[in-house]
Amino acid sequence: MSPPVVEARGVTRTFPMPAGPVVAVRDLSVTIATGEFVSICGPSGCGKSTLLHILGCVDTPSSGELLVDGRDVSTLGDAARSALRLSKIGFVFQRFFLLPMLTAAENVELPQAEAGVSRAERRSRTSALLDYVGLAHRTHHRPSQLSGGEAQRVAIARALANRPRLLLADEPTGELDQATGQQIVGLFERVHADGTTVVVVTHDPAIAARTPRMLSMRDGRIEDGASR
Amino acid sequence: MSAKVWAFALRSLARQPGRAILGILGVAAVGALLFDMLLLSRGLLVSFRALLDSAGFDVRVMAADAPALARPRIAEAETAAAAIRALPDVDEVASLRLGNAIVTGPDGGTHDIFFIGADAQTRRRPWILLEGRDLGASDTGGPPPLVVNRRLATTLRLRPGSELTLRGDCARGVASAAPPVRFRVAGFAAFPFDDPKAMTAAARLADFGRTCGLDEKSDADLFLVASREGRGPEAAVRAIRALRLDLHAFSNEEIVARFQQVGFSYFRQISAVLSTITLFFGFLLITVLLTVSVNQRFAEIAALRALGFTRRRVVLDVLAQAVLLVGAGGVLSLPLGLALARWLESILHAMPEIPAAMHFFAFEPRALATHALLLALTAVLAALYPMRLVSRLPIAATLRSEMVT
Amino acid sequence: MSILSALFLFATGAVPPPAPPPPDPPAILVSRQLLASEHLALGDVIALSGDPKGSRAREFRIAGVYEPVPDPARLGMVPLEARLHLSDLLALIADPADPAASESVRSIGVKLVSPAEASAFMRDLTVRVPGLLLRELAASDDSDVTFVVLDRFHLAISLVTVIASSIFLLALMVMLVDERRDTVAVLRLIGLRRRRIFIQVLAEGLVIALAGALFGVLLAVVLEGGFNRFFQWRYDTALVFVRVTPAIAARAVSVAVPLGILASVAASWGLLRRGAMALARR
Repeated sequence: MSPPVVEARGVTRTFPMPAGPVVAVRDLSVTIATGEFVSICGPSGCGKSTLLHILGCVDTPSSGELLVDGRDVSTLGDAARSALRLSKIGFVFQRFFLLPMLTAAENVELPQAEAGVSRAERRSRTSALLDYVGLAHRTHHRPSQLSGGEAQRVAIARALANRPRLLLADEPTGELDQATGQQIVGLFERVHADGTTVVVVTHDPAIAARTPRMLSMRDGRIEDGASR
Repeated sequence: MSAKVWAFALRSLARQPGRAILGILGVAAVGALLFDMLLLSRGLLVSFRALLDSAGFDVRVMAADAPALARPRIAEAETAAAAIRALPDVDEVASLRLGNAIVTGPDGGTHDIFFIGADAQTRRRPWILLEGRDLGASDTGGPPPLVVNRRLATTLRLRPGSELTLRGDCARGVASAAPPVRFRVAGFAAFPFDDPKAMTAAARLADFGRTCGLDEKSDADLFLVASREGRGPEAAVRAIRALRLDLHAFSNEEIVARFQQVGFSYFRQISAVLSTITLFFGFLLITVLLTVSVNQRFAEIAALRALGFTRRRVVLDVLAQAVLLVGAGGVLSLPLGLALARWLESILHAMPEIPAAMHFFAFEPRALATHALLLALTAVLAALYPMRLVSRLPIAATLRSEMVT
Repeated sequence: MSILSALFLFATGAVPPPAPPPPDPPAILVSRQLLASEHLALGDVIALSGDPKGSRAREFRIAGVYEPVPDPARLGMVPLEARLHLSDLLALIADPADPAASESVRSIGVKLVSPAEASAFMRDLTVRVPGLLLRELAASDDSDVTFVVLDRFHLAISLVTVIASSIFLLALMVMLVDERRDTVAVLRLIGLRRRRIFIQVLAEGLVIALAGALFGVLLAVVLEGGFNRFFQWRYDTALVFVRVTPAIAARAVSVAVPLGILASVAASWGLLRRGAMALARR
């Protein structure tokens, strides 16, 4: 088996609420190996997005360990976690979160600029990425001028901008019609095939069925972690 | 802050141009008022100092430390002036007598004029000759010479060489019984302390005394002293104080300091109050604009953080936006402020007894520096609350709540 | 300014009354500020002189204290003044060598029964008493001019603050309307007419402007006392610097309310002009 990109060991995430603490993820252990394409599915409120946030280092577990590339990141400070996300993890959101004042190309360039990539290299990489997601003709369009599917493709290109080892997507087809959703899953398959580890959170069984490994969650636990 | 932070902040502002323009205009309006209040706070002092320095005398000697109207005269002025002139720290001493006179215009109407008697022996004069000749030390025959200001010349249709008759009204508490004296206009002069409506004439001390029915050698209202080059006015003041304990000598610096304490301090107070209000107003405007903007962008900021933007980076973005708004407004406020200052100056100059050469709003670089500093401080303070909101933004919780809403 | 202020008053401080008691010194009034600055008290006997060397000083008993008439042109100058009977003043300053000096005054104020006949009175007096200088005092003096100028200055400042406030208000309304964009879109989609939403925006603007204006007036009333007390303390004067009168309050409200309504309309104009679908699409 390939070495793990990310590994959660006995992770619990509790949210304090007025009516008492709510446990979103309960003593959960999971390993995502390099080159895997994993879907996390389950009903609303089962903790799949929370798990994704923990794996993506945007949330900190209340207890347990999280290892990225074999290194415990639970104790890292904010700046170190940001640097880790910038270089190793790509995020795709349900609502795209493209910056409306930037063009498609500028949105893709943004994480690269933040990582200190030179302007020439940024341009070339952005052009290649937009071509990769099939939007070479939409380079200078703003998000408001793109369809939902196109916007999500730009978001995927942005997530891939710094060549992350791990691509995390939270309900990436939630805002799209079925056909467009299928195209986006197709794009993830292609990204996976090109060597990037992909984890997708979805409540759509049809999408989950297309991934080689599916983690099924309920009440903050993984019920089934089958690989196909 | 790097160029990419500024560029990103600029794009963020440009995203809602109407809001950004209103913010800039609001800052420009309050910045203009702030700039004017800073000019007003020191304008009178700066221009008063310039007026004091304009004649080249840097020390003033009086008989008492009292307001002009209640001040006694320097007794035995000629002897006192000679003693001061002999001091090594002193270059020149000019005796001055101040009073009023009445002249009859070509239409038969009478006019009150301000009448100065001055030492004609000095190189420096407490006025600037504009046309014609100055008062000569020696008589050339005919009526004694007189220099007059433009307003008097225009009112009485005078030219160099014209003659006019003055009737003295100079003695405080004692009615003048001297006969009218006929003068010849030698030239026109600008008197620094003239207000726009003032009609002023100056004659030699002896002729002043004759017009006012006073002993020409007896008294002086004021000595204007020029310190010797390289010695400085402070040394001259010390020497005069040591020489004559009964006289009160002040350097221009000291007079300005005293003026700062009492003269027109209302304007300094009002400028302090209005500066505080305008700064608070600007602070409130920028805080509200940025807070609302940040509130509307919470999810987007959380997404940027998820993509790897550090907390410092998103906080700096808010600060850069505040600086850009206040900076652009501040730059715009300078021409606006100067135009506003001209308008306010024209209003305030209608005050009585304000010398025409004195300005309520006087530009000096330190006002500009203070303006920039105060605006920069406002920008930082205004950004503090939205910066705090951004820095404390929980990424996962914000993304989750965005999904729910 | 009275003739008294032209006199250089040389206060040498309280001195013990000489014994055996001579005739009581003449009574004078001193300004509150002089009393405080020289630590005097009612009934004190003080020496005044007409010249700075203190020669020919005479003693006077402080019979009373008065508050000088506040003069905005002399703000910041502490009025160290005393009021003497004219005969006492003349005796104090007159040159003993000049027998006519005690008969001389700088000016005599005359109040005419018919002020309109001032010119005729002056002509008549010039003929009767040659050598007198006669001047008709204008109805307004320099202090009035100073007040008028300050009034204009404050008005100009308030104009600038109104402009700045309008911009602030407009910015607030733009943000408020922007926040409500989705709500307006839904209202339009469920069939509410533009006119109906416009009236609602107008009503909201009116309420906000009215509440803001009234709050502003209330704030001004609250600050009035503090502002006056501070400046009266700062300048040791009885001048009133701020007075919120009903007329000024009404003027402030009458300016603020239309501005508030205008700002609401201007801010929501773009929103109301758009179609419901355009509003719903982000």
